[in-house]
Amino acid sequence: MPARLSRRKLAGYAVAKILSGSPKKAVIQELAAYLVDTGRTRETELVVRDLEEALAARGVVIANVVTAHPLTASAKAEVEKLAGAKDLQLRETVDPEVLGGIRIELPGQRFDGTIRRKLNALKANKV
Amino acid sequence: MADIAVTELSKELRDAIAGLETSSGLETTGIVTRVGDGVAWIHGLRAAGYSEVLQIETEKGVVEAFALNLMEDEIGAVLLGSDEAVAAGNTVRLKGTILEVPVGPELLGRVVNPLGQPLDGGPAIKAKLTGAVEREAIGVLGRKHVHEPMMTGIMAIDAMFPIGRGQRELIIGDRQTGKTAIAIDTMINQARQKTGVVNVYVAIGQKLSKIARLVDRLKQEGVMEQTIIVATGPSDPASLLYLAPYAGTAMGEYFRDNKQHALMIYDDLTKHAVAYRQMSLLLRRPPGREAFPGDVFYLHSRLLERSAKLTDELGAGSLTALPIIETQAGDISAYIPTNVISITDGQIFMETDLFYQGIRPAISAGLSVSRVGGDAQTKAVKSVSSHLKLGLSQFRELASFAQFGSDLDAETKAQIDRGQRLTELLKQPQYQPMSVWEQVSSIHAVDSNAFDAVAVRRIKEAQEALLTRLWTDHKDDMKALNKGDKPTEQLLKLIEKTAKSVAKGFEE
Repeated sequence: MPARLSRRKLAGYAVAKILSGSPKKAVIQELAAYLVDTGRTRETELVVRDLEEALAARGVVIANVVTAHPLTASAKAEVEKLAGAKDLQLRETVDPEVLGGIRIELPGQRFDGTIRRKLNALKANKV
Repeated sequence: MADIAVTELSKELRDAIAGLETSSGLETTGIVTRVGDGVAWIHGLRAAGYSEVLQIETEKGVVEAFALNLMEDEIGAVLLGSDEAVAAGNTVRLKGTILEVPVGPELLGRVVNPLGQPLDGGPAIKAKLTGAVEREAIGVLGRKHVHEPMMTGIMAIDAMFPIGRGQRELIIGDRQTGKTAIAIDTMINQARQKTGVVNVYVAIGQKLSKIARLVDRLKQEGVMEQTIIVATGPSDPASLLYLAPYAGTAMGEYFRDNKQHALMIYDDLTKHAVAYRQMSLLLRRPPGREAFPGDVFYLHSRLLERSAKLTDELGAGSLTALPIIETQAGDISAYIPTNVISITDGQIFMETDLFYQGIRPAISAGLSVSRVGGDAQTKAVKSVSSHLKLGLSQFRELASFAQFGSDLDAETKAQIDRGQRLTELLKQPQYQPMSVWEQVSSIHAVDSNAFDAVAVRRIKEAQEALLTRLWTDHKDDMKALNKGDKPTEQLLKLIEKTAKSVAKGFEE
């Protein structure tokens, strides 16, 4: 029986293949087949996270941006600067719950400048 | 070449790092994938280091954990609090520090948990400094040989198995044989003799009622002001039990490194090993002998290696350790006992049989040893106790013949007689540590045959009478003797004479 392949390596192979020009659909299909074959479909969510991290390591960053109001063009430029990626793909979410400010979720990293978080921090410190 | 001050360079670099950390605001994050039995498995956080603190954001606030298993796909972390609120999907941040506890004189007189939080209902501890829980032991060049006495106040120990400052002396024995009592008496003796030694008592999974009783007793004896108690109960998570001795040692090391002397008591390391076994098995590390993990030796060796006597250049401070190990049915060849025996500089072995014969402290003269304490023994005690161990061991060999009484030759009879007197003399009630002059006078009275006329069962009474007489009639001599220097022939003669005159009242 072959040794169990780590998710990290799996994601690394898939991303290398996609970035070297192989058709994305075929690579994903292959990856899905591997997960089904080895009975590791439960790990799908984690594999997706690992793919995102592997992509980020190669300069393709997928960022979730959560704000209370839709992003302005200047804020968008700031986000791009912070992420420092050559290819940044933004997923924007508008969530009034955060009250104000911005939360940027990058693979394996986070910037939380929302008013909600600051309020929570205040509450936790009982100021 | 331009003159570059290295210290300045390192300071600049540090400042630059501090500046960078605050400016970006980007945090490294991961998520909890599984949690249970006090262990969380985390995806992401590839930058995490061994033993680094992680913060898990739960709905009920932040729960801290520390990373112990760093693997390719995930991190195994042990929670420092309840796992109740932690759920799969929670975000995990790196705190950016390894585990640290508050250290310093502010902790004296306090009862704290292994994270340095007060458990005694007192005010918050405002320590100015923190110390790393896991710290490398001091090297060879920073150490000096053990040469100053750490008096326990227990005659059997100070006379036969002397302990020095910086030594590691194991207290080992079955349950209910008086192991903790020896440790407590030693702590009390530090206050009675005003040695200035700071006590750090680490309770690992001890019943909280027992800890409360101990605190009460220490307060009663006036020892609490120079004592720190690191307490963990049986209901605390295994992670806290695991951390307790390291955290306590960090607190003790502060005094060692600041030209003072500290005494660590680890009560007991058997429970510590069991807590570590639990953590290791839950982290899926492979089990070895008795299901303990492979690094259970390192667990205790790295802890006890932190006890040391420092060189004069480093301030000549010391950290003495009295680890306690509980055996099952007197079996000292089990895994953990043999490990700790080989790590320490000697052991005091407590025997159940002796305990129930009324010989308390139930110290076995044959199996106990102090490997480095000889140099550290108080000169006064050393000068009178050289025959003690031999006399006792000869007696133990012959003890079974004692019942034949008149059929024995004169020499054997004398040895048995001497042994019985010594055994009786070395009995000592709890909470009554003895000072140097008391020990020297008592031992010399028996050793010089001055008490030969005293009935065996009245030895203790005679000893008490002798001590009272000496203190009332020759106070200054006794005070001089208490300084620990080798007594003069004249003084020994005086003790002998007084003992002979006292002995007359206790003949039968």
